[in-house]
Amino acid sequence: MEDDGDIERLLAATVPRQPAADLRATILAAIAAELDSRHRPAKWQSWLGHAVAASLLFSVATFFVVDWSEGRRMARWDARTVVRSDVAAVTDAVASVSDEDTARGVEQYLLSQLQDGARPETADLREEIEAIQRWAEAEPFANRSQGDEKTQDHI
Amino acid sequence: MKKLKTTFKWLAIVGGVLLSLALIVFAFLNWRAGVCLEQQLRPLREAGEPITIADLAPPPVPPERNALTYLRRAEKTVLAMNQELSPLRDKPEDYYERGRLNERGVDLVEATLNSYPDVFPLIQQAADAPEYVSDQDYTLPPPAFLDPYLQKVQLSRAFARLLQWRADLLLARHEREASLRNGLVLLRLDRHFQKEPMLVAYLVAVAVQSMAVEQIVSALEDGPLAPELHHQVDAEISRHLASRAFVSAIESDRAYGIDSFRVFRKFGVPWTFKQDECDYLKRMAKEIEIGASPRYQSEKAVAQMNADTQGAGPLTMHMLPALEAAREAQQRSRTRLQCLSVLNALTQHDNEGTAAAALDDLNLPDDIKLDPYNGQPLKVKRLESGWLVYSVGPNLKDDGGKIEKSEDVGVGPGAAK
Repeated sequence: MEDDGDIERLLAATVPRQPAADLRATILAAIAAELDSRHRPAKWQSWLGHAVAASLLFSVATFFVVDWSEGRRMARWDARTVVRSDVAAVTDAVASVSDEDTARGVEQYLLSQLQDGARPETADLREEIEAIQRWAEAEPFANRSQGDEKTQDHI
Repeated sequence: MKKLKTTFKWLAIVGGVLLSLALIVFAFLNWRAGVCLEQQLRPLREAGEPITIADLAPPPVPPERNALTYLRRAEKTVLAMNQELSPLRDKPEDYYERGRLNERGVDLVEATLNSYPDVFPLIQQAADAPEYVSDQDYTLPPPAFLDPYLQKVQLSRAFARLLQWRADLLLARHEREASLRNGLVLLRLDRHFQKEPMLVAYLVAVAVQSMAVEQIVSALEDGPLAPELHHQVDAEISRHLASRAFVSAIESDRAYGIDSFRVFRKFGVPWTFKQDECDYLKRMAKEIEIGASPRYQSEKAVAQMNADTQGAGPLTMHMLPALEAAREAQQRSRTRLQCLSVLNALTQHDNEGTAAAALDDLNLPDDIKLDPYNGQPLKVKRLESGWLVYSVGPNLKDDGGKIEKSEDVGVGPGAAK
């Protein structure tokens, strides 16, 4: 009994072991910090992401700027005004009896008419074309050739 | 889950980097192609060379000076005559014997020619006309331009065939002077045909020229001719040799090509077509620079040009066979004309009873007597049936004058019908 009593007394006298009161807080803080760091990228990773995003933006912008400027460059060649031979002939005729500026003015006028869908045939040009047609029709052989359309289909 | 997320994150980073690089590279290629193309186009425009189909439009001439006026008037009749004489082409064995029209052939050609007495005066007028201005609408875009153009180019063949049959008839009647004049008319017409733009017309004109040369060779080999006719042959050959038809054909083809590329550039990846167009213009510039110089002079330059074009864009590469064929056709055409010139001189000597012993005895310019393929003197052989004048041809080997199989290139009894 005495022995039992001793054990009981000893147990009662034993103070349970436990960490220092601030240790718990320290450990919890460390665990929290560790858990937090797993969700947040490292600094270098963050910079890489930003750099890639920036380079992507830059390259997209560069691509479209170059594409736009190249479009303009090509437009300078493609949008070249085509001077038809009949317009050029009228322009030359005007230049021969007046001066270069007047001729350019006439050319611009004819070209603007052309752009509007109008034929750039001045009265003189039309007359000239009609004269050619009359001249061609006056030739006896021209009439004869017109009768051969049927045979052309077979060739 | 966490691992998947990390993978996605890295994929996004790598993809972003690659996309950025691709965009930068594409932008660079686009810019470089644009600069390259502009560098090719600017000098052309500054030199006033054609860079659109519209630029090819020739200045108008009065219709009475334009050969095409007369050709157009004769057109339908000539096509009808071609139709009537087509058996000569379809079944030559029924109408020709030993290269000459037989009785049946003579009857057919005579009957047809007699039915259309007005056509040859018109053809003569066309040949004599000082100008040839195409009536093509040069304001049309490339695809629309091509259709009427090809129809017109085909028309020259109909005229050539008709004159060929007429020459056959004249020779069958032993009217060799008339036959030679007929050949000269075709050569003159051919100079007009060469004024149609682009390489297709040029190739057809070379074929027509070959027919004319054969007609003249047949007449020369047939027997003596008036000295005046020999002079006329010489003069016409000189005009053909001095012609810049080949270069003009390339220049006009380039203008058509630029207009076509302009259409292509609106579709697909723009800089690929721009780079292709730049490659094409570089090649065409080289072709024009080399021009119609004989092969023995231009061989290295042509080889260098071909090497430079390796790796060019697909459309440029697609054009190369046509360009090479045109250059070869030009060499053959030039060679045949030179050989004809020599043959003309040889037969003239024969007629005068002063047979030439060697090529050097002929009073011809040195460059006429040189083989355009190897720079050596042209080969001359006296056969029983007449003179054979030939060049070693593109294989640079003397095959003994096999001009029928085109192993050698030249004129003589074998080449003539």
